Amino acid sequence: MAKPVREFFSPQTLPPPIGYSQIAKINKGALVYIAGQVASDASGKLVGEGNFEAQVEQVFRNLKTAVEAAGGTMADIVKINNYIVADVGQDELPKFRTIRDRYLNVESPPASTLVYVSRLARPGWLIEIEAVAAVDG
Amino acid sequence: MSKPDREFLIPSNSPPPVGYSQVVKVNKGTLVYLAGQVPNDASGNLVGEGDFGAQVEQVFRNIKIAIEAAGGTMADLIKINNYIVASVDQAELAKFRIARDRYVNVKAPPASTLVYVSRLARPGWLVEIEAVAAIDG
Repeated sequence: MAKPVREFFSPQTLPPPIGYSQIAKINKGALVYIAGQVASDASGKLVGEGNFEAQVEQVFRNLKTAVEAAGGTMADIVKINNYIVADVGQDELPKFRTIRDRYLNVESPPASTLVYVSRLARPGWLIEIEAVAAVDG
Repeated sequence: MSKPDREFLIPSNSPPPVGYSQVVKVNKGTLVYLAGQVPNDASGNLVGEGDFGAQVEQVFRNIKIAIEAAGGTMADLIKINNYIVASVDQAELAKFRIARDRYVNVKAPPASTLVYVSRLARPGWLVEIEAVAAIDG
């Protein structure tokens, strides 16, 4: 039997992850590196000024656009790195998870890293997410 | 003669790295993405509250568990990204290097990035390390 293209798993010997996989193993496929996506629309305008939730939504919308432009789907994303501006309150994090879980394949979510940073490239941006995907081909 | 699966390089005209490689070239193998590992144990409890050295140790322990669960070894790591909370004193970095060098293959260490961040997803975590590995097959 052929190996699956991708395997997502979380060993019981590791801390239990919330909505992501501890390990994404890529056996086959073309790798796609997606730039850090920010809360701007196609015309370059900031979406959701001062509104963390609206920005997370726009960022995932942009990620979807990016991975689809590469011939993939959101289920092909194997790793996300999430950068949130430090002045976003800790209590906003559940909003991030709720939106993320609407976009990702929650049965086989990507591996993930999340950090709070001092600031991003443009004042007003509250979150940036970069991703790696493995698509067929 | 066939190419090696992986090459760990330090170009002579690059700045000399401390315990990592400047370049890792992956010629062959299955890629494994590990989620950012944090200083929790398998039951989700924080290990080493307020103790940076103990947290680094737990994080590397988790990386080892993860890479072995994916069928690899610590020598298969090709890249690590290290996120340390900004409140950790610069003087503590030596502890990070000592722990790291006990876990990675010091003859052919992974490429590495290290940054200080405002905070991590859970208060109390002082360090998070994510990794990419290339394993046989």
